[in-house]
Amino acid sequence: MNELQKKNLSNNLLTVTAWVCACLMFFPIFWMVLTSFKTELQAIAVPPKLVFKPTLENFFLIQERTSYTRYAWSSIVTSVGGTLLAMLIAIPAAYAMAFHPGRQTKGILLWMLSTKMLPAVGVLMPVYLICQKFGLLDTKIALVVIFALINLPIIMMMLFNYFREIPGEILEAARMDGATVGREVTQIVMPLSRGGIASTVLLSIVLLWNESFWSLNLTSSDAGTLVALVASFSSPEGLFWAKVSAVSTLACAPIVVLGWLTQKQLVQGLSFGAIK
Amino acid sequence: MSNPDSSETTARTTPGNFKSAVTGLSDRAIAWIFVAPTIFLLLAVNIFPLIWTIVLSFTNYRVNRPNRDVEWVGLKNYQRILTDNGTWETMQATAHFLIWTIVLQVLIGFALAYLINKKFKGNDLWTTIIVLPMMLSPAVVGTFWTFLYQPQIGLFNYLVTFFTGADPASFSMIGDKHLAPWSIIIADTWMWTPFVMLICLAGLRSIPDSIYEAAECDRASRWRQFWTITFPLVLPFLMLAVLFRGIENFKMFDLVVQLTGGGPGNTTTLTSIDLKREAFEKWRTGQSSAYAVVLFVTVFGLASIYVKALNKVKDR
Repeated sequence: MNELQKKNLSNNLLTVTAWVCACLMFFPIFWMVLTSFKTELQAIAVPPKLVFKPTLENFFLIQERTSYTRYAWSSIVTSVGGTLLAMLIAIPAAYAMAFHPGRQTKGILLWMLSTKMLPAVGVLMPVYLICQKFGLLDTKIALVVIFALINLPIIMMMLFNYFREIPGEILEAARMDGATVGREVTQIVMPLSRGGIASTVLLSIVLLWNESFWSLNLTSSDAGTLVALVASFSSPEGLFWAKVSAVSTLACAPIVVLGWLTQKQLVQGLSFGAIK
Repeated sequence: MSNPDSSETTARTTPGNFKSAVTGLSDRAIAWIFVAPTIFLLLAVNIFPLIWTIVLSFTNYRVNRPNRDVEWVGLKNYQRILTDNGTWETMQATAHFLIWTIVLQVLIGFALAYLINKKFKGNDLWTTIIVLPMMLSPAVVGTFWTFLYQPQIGLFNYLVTFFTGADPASFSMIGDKHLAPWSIIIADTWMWTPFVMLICLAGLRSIPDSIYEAAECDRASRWRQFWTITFPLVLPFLMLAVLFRGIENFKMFDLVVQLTGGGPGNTTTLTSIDLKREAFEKWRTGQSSAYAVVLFVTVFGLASIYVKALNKVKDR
């Protein structure tokens, strides 16, 4: 074998290994989607069925029995609302930290990220008591506020990184032209980091859509998100696997599409910006 | 900017301090005004409940009996938590879960990243597929893996049977007290190995080819190249991955609640689940607050020791 053949072979081996891994990772998800198109009997058939006549019955039944759309609406409102609220607070803060850094800036940023380390369950009791006091248990408002706050550190960190890429000279020039701080932020910084802001928003929506700890613990029927709907399916109706699959598929599908657009930011966000 | 003529002249006559002349505030002040809401809110959502938790941990307060007099009990809650056998069982379960998920994810993640280090056909599509599991909600993953783990009908049991010949109804991953801890480890590993792998890939791809070429010239063996070049340069990335997975899995709640609910017995009751039970099922508010404080101290202690080590490796 000459050098070239050897290289080709190793390249092919690489491709094959890579795709085998991908298939293994993908299989459970594939199985979930597949099962959602089966009847209940087909879902529990032994040996597992790969070929069958697909049915949409599960999806209709879910809408009929649990009003899927209400939960979906709750998911949309809380994830988008939480994201927008967090952006509203984070954009000025990130602007200030990126363009007027002080000695404490780095420390403050690290402190913000370190707040993500606390086990959420440790502060559940006080938060629960506050919500109870203000009659906010099982409301979308409570969830929006909490969602905004839990994502604030990651959003801050990402915006800070994007804003820092803007050359300071541009802002200086604008200031020379008499731009106020407000215009600096809204007409220069924000348009220049459009892409960064967009991907931060998408990432935040993905993370909040999937957030299950707070939605499981602070909501029940009124403000329950899709995640809560899936979770509720597992206990009393646990034996209806085709329906569980269908509801899981419905809960994941929208976010997987969004996630495709933001996979780079997802890894960046989950690693607190350590991986670019 | 809308009327450039006038503002240009103003800017020329009052260089530099134009803005402060208009707003009456210095840059630093404006910066602080902008940052203040974020800091205040984070304080409100993190530090305030934390202080509340610490205060409660020294009392005998119970949420379900709000009218009873609250008494200071000193360190009694801490004493009770730390001498309770259940707590230690939970800690052991958590340690078992933490150690094995980290070991498996790092080993598999790094091995795969090492194999797939170079770009190949369909690299982008491949990344898209590989990150799918971590884009799902932990609660959904937990719910769905319950189905895969069902004895008799579950896909997981079917595959194990297929390869080993065991009876598919003879074992239940989530019903057996020896297998249940592994069921949560496997599900978590499935979900997060891609994340560790992507971090390792980022590390591997950051090593310039020229280093390997130089090693090739010096006739260093593949084995030697791995231990003297690849491994030390990827180590900081690996350690970061361990840190993230460690912190995340110490907080682990939703996936395990959905998958096993902490059972059978207490075999998969991780600290977060145990803490929630103390607080919301047994309603021992004071005691559960002490528990939370113990957890906070543990996490921060371990994490800060680890970050020190990480920085040492990075600086090397």
